[in-house]
Amino acid sequence: MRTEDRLRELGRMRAPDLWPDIRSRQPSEELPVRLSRLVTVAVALAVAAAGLGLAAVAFLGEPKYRAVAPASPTPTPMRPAITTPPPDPNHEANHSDPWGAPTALSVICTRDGIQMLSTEVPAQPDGVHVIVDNLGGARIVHAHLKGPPPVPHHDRSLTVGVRPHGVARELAPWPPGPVELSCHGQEMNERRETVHVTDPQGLWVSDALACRETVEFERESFLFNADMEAAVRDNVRGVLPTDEILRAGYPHDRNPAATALVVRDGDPVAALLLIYVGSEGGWYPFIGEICVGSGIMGA
Amino acid sequence: MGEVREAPPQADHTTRVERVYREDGARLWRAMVAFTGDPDTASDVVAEAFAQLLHRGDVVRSPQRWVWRAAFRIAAGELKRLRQTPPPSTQHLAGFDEGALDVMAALQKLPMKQRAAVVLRHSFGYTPREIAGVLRVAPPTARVHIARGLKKLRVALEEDDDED
Repeated sequence: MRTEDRLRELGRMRAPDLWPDIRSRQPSEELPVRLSRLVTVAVALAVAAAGLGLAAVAFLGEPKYRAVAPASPTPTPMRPAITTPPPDPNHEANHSDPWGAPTALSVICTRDGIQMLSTEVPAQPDGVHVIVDNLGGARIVHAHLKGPPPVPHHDRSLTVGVRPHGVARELAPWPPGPVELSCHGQEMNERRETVHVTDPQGLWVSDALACRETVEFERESFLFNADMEAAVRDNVRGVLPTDEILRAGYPHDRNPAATALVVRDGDPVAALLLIYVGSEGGWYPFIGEICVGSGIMGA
Repeated sequence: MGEVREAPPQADHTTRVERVYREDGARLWRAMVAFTGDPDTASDVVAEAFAQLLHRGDVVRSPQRWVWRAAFRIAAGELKRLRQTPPPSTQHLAGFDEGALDVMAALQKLPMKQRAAVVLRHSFGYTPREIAGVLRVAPPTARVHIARGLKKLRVALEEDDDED
């Protein structure tokens, strides 16, 4: 019998019915959507920083701070960049990838290391959606950004949380480009695999400044505002009424630490990291970089 | 995988996944038996791939294709893990005829991608383009895997025949 005929015989074996087993492996409840541990860390940092700042103010007595009454109990996202088209609600239906590339990146952590079910993932308005199946007892998934630094003060190694056993759904603020991922845990192969984040909707706004010479932002006031743009205008001297304030990164990123760009005549002239303090009901600029010659904060 | 029939949009996700399973589950299991050489591992891999599909809800837009790709990925990981443990008993293969056992044993001598490409092509009639999609390689690479795998398989089967 020819080899090809013998192979064809394999396609005629009688298969068992596995459906009852498949059903019994399914968890009884829908898994909750969780924000990444990065967000949790950022919140903790934000609260700690705010606490330290307020304590310093109380003891040193300068400068004079004014907390704006909260207008909203949750962070208000800044309006997306005007050059960014609004999210297309029909994006799923319009997707023309013949292989149906998923809008979420599926990652499996096993003892043998990371496995990814795709090598490409399209960014969404709130970031990159990642689904992590933890089959090997991983503690965390590390992401190593290979491109230029994405947003000031963001580490190049961004982590994604996992559930001890089971599936975690995460949002990651990875910029478009290659990202190396690896699963980390006890006796786990920590080899890296690369995924390419694509941005077919043009959502990502880079924080790159239009100048080479910059000075560090030095805070003079501590005015919280539920609106990010207002928080910038209230706290940053020299911002012109005609300047545009845009949010860098993804427009609907839910991270309570965000970079705001001051754009003048189309050129970003300042990048400021704002953090959201829930107890104060608003954002305030924490640190940042300002182009020399912009006149912002006297630069 | 040639004729992809999606469930109507009103069908809930579980129904949709079950329909995919009823249409493709048996073929996928056979492919996994040929790929792993072990029916128990094949059953575990197929059940795991479909269970993951169920967990993922509607984020997977082409469940049929996704589950094939996932199954090969899970099986590859499982085979790497099994390599570090003693080989399983062959008792569970008692129900298979000798010819099928010979082919499965010979297939295990092939590198994973060649084995997957040969099984998909010659046991299930997939096109090189479809195989390329499952294995995440370019179609010309898939053709190379098929040709090299088949050549190696022939040699392995001839060696087995000579030993008999």
